[in-house]
Amino acid sequence: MEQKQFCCDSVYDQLPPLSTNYSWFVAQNLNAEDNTNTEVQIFFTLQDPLSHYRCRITELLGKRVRGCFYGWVILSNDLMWSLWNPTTSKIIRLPPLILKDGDSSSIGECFLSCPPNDPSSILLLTRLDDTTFVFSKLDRKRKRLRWTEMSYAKQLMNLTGEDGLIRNLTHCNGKVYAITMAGQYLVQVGIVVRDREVVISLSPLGILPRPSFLYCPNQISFLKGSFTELFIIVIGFKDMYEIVSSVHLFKLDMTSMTWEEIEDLKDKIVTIEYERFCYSVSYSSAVASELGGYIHILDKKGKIINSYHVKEKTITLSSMPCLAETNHVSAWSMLECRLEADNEDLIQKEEDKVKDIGLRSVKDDEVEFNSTPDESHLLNLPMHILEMIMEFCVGIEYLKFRATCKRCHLAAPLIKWKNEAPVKRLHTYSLVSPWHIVFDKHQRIITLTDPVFGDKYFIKTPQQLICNLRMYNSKYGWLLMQVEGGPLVFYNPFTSDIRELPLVGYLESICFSAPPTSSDCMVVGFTSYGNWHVYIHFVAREPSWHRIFLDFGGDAPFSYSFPTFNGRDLYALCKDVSVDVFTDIDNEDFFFWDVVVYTPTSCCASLGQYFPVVFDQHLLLVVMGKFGEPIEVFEYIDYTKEWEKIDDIGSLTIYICDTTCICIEAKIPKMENKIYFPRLHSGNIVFYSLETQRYHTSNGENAQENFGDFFGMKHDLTPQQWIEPSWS
Amino acid sequence: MSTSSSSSKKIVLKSADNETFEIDEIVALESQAIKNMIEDECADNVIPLGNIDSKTLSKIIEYCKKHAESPKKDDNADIDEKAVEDLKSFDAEFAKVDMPLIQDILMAANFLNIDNLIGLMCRTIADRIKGKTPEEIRKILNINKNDLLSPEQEAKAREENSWAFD
Repeated sequence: MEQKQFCCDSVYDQLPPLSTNYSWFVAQNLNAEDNTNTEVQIFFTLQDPLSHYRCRITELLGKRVRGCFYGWVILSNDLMWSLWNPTTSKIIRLPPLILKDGDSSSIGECFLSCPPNDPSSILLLTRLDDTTFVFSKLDRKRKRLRWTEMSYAKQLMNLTGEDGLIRNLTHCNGKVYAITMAGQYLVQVGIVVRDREVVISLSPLGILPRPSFLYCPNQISFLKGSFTELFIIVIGFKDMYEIVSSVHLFKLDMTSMTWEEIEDLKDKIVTIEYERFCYSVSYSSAVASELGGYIHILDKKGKIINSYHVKEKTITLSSMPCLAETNHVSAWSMLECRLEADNEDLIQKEEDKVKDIGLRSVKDDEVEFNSTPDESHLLNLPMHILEMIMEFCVGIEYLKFRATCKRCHLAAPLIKWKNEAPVKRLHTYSLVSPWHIVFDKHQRIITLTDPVFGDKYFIKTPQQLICNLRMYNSKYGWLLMQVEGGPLVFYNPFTSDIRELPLVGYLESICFSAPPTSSDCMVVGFTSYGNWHVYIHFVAREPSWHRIFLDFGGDAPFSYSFPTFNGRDLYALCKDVSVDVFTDIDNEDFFFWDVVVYTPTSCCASLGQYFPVVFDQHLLLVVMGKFGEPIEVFEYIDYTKEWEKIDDIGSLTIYICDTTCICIEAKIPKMENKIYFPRLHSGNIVFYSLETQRYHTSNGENAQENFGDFFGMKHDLTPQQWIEPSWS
Repeated sequence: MSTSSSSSKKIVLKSADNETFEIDEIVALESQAIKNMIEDECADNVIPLGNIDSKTLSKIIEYCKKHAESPKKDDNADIDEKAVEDLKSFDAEFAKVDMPLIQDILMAANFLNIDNLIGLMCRTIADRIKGKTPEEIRKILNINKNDLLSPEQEAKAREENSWAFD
């Protein structure tokens, strides 16, 4: 809390004492140029959003921070470029940068080849619209510095056959590397300075890794070198680079020159900021181990941060409250210059540790004193009776009972459910809620989480499914997914049953009408690629797919999502514009399709997301803002053919994830009128209460804490679904 | 309190609080323990049950009477479905008692060795803890704090929450 104090009170006129525990960013508001009294720079860190410094540093006024290298800050103001060393207060001013075409705004990234006191040091700039490098030597012995522009188009064309731009120049092991704009090739950049001459040469080092299973058209690769290691971070985006949907981290094996995927960043942090095709990546060690292992991705405006934990494969959204007033943030940069350690921080941490230990010992004492010898009825039960009770407990209850007390723990061995037959009454067994199921390829574990009680259960992933998976649908206890480079498969995690489907081309969304064990099971897939738009397979009939052409009246084929059977009809969301119905879909001759209703106008300020929900012949639509706020629910009224906004969903509970929405009648009162999301806060699954119009987490009986939106919550980027357990 | 008599042989059970229950032998035979005593001829007219109170004993007798009256599977292969349903609904009603009594009945049924009743009570306890957290289960079952797993042990028990499908 002490750290808060320096946030607002004082405005520094020089670089504040930035703790080396964190990596620091600077936000500027350059639109205040007219009135320099209001212009401030805000130094902030992602690790501690409450700690930030407001500064008015003369050297930075009116200048945009473009990057930091070797303790030097690169600054620009229209045509003027300079380097500033905050520790020594030295400034190197470069002559005005006058490009041949006069377009100074087309400068992209900047790169300093070596410290400015090295006579071969050059400041190199890339352009966003032209295949040229713009550079200047920084040898201060020379009387005049001058800019040179050099085209690399021919070199690159010869090497890669690609007419592209170079970006992401980075140091590694004494060499300079870069990638091509399209993110295809890794190139080595040779910079040789001889007297007056500067030679910049490119040599190709191979193709960049490309995670093939993303089905995510909007991917950006970022290159970053550290002392000895070279990394590629491939980020998949949804909705015009607004939402991060996948993250992959690769490291170059320098001997075999092949890329290997990294599964754990350990104590390291990677930070990526991108703005208007300008990228900046930093790589550093976290001082505190709990802060390590993350890739932080700052959005275009730098105000929203996606923090991806490489090992957990989860993303947490956060925002920077201290930047509220910097509406016109013009530049973001990592301040790689490390300054004096903030000793106070360290001292504070030591004190905290001592306090922690103290608290723990007090707690232990309390337990001792409070242990009154209450009579325990269950204690008197003989062991074989306890074992018998256990036999009536299935899955969750068994495990909870085990954790209840020492004797229960003794009475209940770990059971291999599949091999034993103690499950005496599965037919009468029902669970309170669908579970959240997550596949972790690297750990080869499937995690099931009970969203209401928060318990977790683990299953070893079947060998066949240890690969990249695309999750399509979940119903009747079965998951429908695609194995990378393989077929679609049905998988029931409760019975370990796996059933393959005949091969089919790329489908965007799929649903099925009955469990695959049923003779009526029909699988229907949609795609907007190719000549056919609907693919139908009858599981119990011939091993093939029927293809259906839809006439879109000259328009490009529509893309359908969230297909759901409603009796014999199939509903699907069409391009977020309408909910369409497919009638008699199993009858090729009489099959027809029509718009049921167009999506309603909602008050969502940011890009709205639509989730159609079918329950017992009723059609509902959940409309949600980009960051989980606001949430509106509409019900389709049959006789008016219109959506009606509803304030509550009564005794229903809705479960939403990327490809599936499940709606059930709440089994216990506390689940009523709630919408569950596959997001976590403090390790608990989050739900939205239509009653309080807030997000809560559920922990035992009480709804804990509440939140207005998704910020601060975690979600998995690994394949996941809601699943209603079924042992048949 | 005594039960109505019939022409068959009677057995008298005496509870811990010295209340006597006269029941038909056929009803008493539901208990394997009593059956053994009678067969071994070590039972006097009155069988003292020093660890079962009258409240629990009367419930147990109620159960045994109903089950003794119902046709047994062994007796008749074509068992009447209605009778099965009837017995099921009796069991369901019978189990609607508070947790201390369920545990007393379970202890007594264990002592008297009445398999069906043990099963019914175990199932009832399993039903009551369905959907509850370990903490809630402890409350329901009134588990002594001294008997808890240490936080480390409990964490381990939760870690072991593996279904280990091999």
